[in-house]
Amino acid sequence: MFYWLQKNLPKIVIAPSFAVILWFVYGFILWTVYVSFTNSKMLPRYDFAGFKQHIRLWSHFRWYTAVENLLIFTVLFIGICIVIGIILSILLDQKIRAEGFLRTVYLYPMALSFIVTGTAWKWILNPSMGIEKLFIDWGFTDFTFDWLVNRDMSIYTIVIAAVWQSSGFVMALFLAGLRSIDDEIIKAAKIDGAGLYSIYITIILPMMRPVFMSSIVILLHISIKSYDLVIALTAGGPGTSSDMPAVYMTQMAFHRSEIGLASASAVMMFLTVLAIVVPYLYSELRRQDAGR
Amino acid sequence: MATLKVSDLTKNFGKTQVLKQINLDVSDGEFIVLLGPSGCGKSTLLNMIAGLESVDEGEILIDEYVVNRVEPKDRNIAMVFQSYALYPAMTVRDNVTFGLKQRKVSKEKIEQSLKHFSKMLQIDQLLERKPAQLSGGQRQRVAMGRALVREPQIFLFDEPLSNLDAKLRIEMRHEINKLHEQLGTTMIYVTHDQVEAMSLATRIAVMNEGIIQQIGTPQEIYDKPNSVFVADFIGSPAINLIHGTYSKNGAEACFIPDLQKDDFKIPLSDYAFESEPKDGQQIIFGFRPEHINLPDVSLKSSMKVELKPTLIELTGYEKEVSFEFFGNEVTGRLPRHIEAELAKPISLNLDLSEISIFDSASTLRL
Amino acid sequence: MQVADPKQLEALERSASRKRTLYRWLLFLVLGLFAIYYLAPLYVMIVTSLKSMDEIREGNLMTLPGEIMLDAWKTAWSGRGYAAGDVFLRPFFWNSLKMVVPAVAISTFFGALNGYALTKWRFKGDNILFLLFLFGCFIPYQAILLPMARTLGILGLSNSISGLVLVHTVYGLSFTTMFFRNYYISIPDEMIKAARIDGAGFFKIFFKVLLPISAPIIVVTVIWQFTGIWNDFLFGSSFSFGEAAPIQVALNNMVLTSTSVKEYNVDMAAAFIAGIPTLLVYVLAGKYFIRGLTAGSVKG
Repeated sequence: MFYWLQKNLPKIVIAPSFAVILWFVYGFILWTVYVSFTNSKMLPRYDFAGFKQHIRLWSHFRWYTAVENLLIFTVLFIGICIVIGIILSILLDQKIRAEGFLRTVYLYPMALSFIVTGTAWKWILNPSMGIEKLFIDWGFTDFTFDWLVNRDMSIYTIVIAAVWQSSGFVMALFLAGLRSIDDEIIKAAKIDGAGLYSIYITIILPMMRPVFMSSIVILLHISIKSYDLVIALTAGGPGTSSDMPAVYMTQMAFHRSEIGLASASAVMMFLTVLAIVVPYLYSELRRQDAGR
Repeated sequence: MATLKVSDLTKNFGKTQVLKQINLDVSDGEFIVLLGPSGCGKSTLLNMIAGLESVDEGEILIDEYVVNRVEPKDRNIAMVFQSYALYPAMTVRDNVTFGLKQRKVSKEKIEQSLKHFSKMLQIDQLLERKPAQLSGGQRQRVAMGRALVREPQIFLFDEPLSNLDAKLRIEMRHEINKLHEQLGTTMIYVTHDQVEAMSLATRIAVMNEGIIQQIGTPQEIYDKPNSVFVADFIGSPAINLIHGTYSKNGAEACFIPDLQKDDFKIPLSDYAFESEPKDGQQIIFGFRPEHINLPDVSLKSSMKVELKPTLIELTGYEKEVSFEFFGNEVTGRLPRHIEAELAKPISLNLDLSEISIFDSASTLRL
Repeated sequence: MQVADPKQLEALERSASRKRTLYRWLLFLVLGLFAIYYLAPLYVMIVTSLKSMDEIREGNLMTLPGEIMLDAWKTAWSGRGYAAGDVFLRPFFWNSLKMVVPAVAISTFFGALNGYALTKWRFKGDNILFLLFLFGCFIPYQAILLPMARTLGILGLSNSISGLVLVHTVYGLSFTTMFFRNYYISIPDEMIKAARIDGAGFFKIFFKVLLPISAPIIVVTVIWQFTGIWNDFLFGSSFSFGEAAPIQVALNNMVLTSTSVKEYNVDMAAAFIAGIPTLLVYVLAGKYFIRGLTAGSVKG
């Protein structure tokens, strides 16, 4: 008995946490998946209704707006963040004296919440008193900037604020990647006569593949989950023009009493994340195993 | 003081069997070295003796008691690790006495042992330091101290010297040797360094692929390796191994190398076979580099050969010379004063009294 | 290759050094412009919060305040003094603090214990178990929002700080376990073996040997958890309202509920107040903050 206890102590210690994860993560996800197949409205009901809610979801114009916005947002957000991140990390890697200070400046927005970020940018992008007025005061008298209240442009304001908040993070990832590269490779390339530009393009950036991978996965993940920033900046508006799936889900769940529909949209989000994260985790694990 | 017996010990990691029915008998006060290449299972065996790995099959007995399910702390052993495994947050004093405190030894007794052994290991000036403030050699001494104060029945060493530089390694090797003489405790020592094994062991167990290939005194292992693996693993430069055929014509037995020319053969009449091969059997003929001598050295049983040097290296007090030998390259250790030149044949004397013959098929000693 | 004559070499050297200086200037110019880009919103926030509304209407984003007014800060922190419809941050700031401290402490402690058991006491299936934990870092919380709301209701923890502590502890476990597991895996197993032979058991090894050397990862984890929980809006807005809300929810409500005239200076002061704790942590322990962000993504 004592021997058994001693031998299994590690498992016993982990068990409570694991049970919590099992229940609150996996159990809850299963619940959500099940409810997405029911007629639940304001309260969950457990009668099986087949794909009814999923069909409703995919015939709901608001959901299409949300998905379309997610696609626009994701592509721009990831693309711009990575470009800025790479540029900044390479420039910072040139043995700059003020590196520590600059790095701090580039990364601090990451410490702020999306609500704070959204509040600040909402003011900056204010159609009459914000950046528009600034440019008019500077002499560009016919400058207009009304994206925040323009149905066609509102989603881009979210991109602007999100890039401001997260691009420093990509910079940090790439900088760490650059620092982990063996100095001797760069020395060898220099002696071989390669210029700094071609060293980065042909040798260093290809070695950054894992960093690209993890940046993309993390940014994708941020964009699929993006909720706070939309709420703070546009609240999905004007109208529903800047809706995103996460906003749609909470709207349906807490304001429209459409639990079944909300669950169906949550399942879609979950499946999207699954499709991204599982291959990533799998390849990461293979890499770790190979390194062992 | 204790004896150790390991019988039919088996260990699997997943589907790979890392130890295959190991048997080992250690008498009280012996210094056993487990020697082998990395991945041969020697560290696993040591960890199982320590109780850090569970036993899949077989038994481990310390002083006749089966200890398979006994916790490491209750086996009355102490262990020195390759990375020293000092506790970074504790001072040297706390590191050394941690084990005694766990055992609720009285304060006076702890103080006394600490004094005694820290003096013995010359770490008494370092007691208040943290491991990070010590040099490699000092850390090694602290790790030894931690094991010594416990005054265990059996000492286990897991490659304790491999993180030291060459000079310190020799110094610490001498100290371990002296310690064994002073304390007379049973010691089990894992290493992949044959010089350490040779100089420390009362007996060496050469391991490969989860099996003890041969166990014996350093002398036996070196002079009479029981397989090609052991012969090749022990000795630097490595033993010369020539493939060829055994030929027996009446009373005259000889070895005919593959690719030989002009009816070249080596007489084997003086070799004491453990089991004599048949005429025409494929065998491997092995001789160590020091068995190639200058012609003026007189030997009990020898053979004259003319060989062409292909590479000459001065190692200090001698020359290592590689020769062309019927398509093989063989190495000889010759006095530094010989005048050898590349591609210029020299006549030499091959010592036949200490050769080894192996079966080509089974690679076992004949 | 032939060595050029001294004159040529000198010319080469001069042009190279000229090029180098030019590049250097260009480099600093680009880096400086980016620094302005990142700092501008912070500048705008501070400047705006120190102006009066009249000044805001007259000037623009960049103009400095004529005289420094702290009224907006006072209003944001402790309100205008009306009885109804007056949202200010002070009570919610304490709400957030009361939520963050226990949630961070509990999740960090269990994360450390899990990481220790998973790496130093390997057992069959431990890697799969870790993977199951790790997956919790990635799930979109929308997928658990509804059942969580139900569960909190059943437990009687709806709209309470304790409920939020529970939620943040549960979903923080995945992260804290991951941090500690990845840290402990790099600590040599031999140290644990040595302690076992010395006679220390599971908990003694954890508290005496491992925890004393875990300071860096504890700091990383605490900062990560603190930042994440302080900045959370989704859980806060889904599971609480009114008086039990955390600060981010209150900030958002404050900005949305414009009584009559929008007071941008108050909004900015409030946003700044809500951001101060995490900014402070970032400035004081930026190294650990970055390490937390990059953990698991670069090292793999």
